[in-house]
Amino acid sequence: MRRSLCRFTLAALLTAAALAPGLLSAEDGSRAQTAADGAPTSVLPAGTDLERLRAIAADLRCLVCQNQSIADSHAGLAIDLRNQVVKLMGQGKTDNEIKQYMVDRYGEFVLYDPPFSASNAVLWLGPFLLALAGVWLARRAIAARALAPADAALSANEREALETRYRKATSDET
Amino acid sequence: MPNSLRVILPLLVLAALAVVFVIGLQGDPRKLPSVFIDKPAPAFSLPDLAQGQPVVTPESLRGQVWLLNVFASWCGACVTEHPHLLALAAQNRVAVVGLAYKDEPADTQAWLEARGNPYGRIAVDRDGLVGIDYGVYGVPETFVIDGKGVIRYKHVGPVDGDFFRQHVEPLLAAGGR
Repeated sequence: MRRSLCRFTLAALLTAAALAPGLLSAEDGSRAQTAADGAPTSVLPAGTDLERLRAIAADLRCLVCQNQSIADSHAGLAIDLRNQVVKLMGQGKTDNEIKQYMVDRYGEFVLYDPPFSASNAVLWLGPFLLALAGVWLARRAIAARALAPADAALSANEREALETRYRKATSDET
Repeated sequence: MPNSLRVILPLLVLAALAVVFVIGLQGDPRKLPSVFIDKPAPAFSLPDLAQGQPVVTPESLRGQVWLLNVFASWCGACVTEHPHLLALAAQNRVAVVGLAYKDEPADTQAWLEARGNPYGRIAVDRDGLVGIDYGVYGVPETFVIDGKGVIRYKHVGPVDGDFFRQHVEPLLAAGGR
């Protein structure tokens, strides 16, 4: 239900954006974010580093619409979290401190680019290990094939047995 | 490698992968492990919904097992869990504290008057900032907090009778420790 709400909000926003280009340019000037459906409105304090806000927000997952970052989402919680980012930026926190603030509350899941740790080592290293295993298997198969011609040579006994059967078979035909 | 194994092995690998995928599909991706389990409940100080009451703080609830139930009048699933909370409150075995999350106090009041009030106290979190401190990302959510003020369990979504039996009763039986 929440997800469909997200989708509805997004659709409403896209419609608003399509219908009111004038509104968007006005938004640029006033540095205000307005949600089309009456969701919380935030006015950024003057001097907010928008580039930096976008960069941090783009790396944080919206927990309500899980496939969006809080930079892209217009869910109420995403707006609240963006406002928190702005507030923490205003307090002079570093990017890492702001991300840690979110991790402390929502877990590493909020990060789109989680740091390497023991619990996620399999995810980071697994593909490389699988690729290495593949290379090893392929080399073994190639080596086995290279050996094959040597195996194909017949011993004297085998050769004699085959020739006998061949001769017998051809003589039977006549 | 014998020929029969050569045929069976890929099938076995496929079957193993299928098992892994089926298990992976069981869980609800919206339910996230909480980072707060076995951590102290974050401090807050919020006005009570009832006029003239002292502020609601976790410290004031020390020494008893209590539930912090995050709810709102705009929350559909809260209606589902409401009868269970009322039943829980009627037993009078555990303090149930409500956190009215991003809700107009008047709306909260009307919602509770229509459905009954299971809460001993109701903290008003109008801007949702305490919700953020508790890692709330969906409503309803319910935290089980022990006598030392440590969060022992977090339930996302509507609670039911099983929730109380599995996560609250053992704690009460252990004397809140």
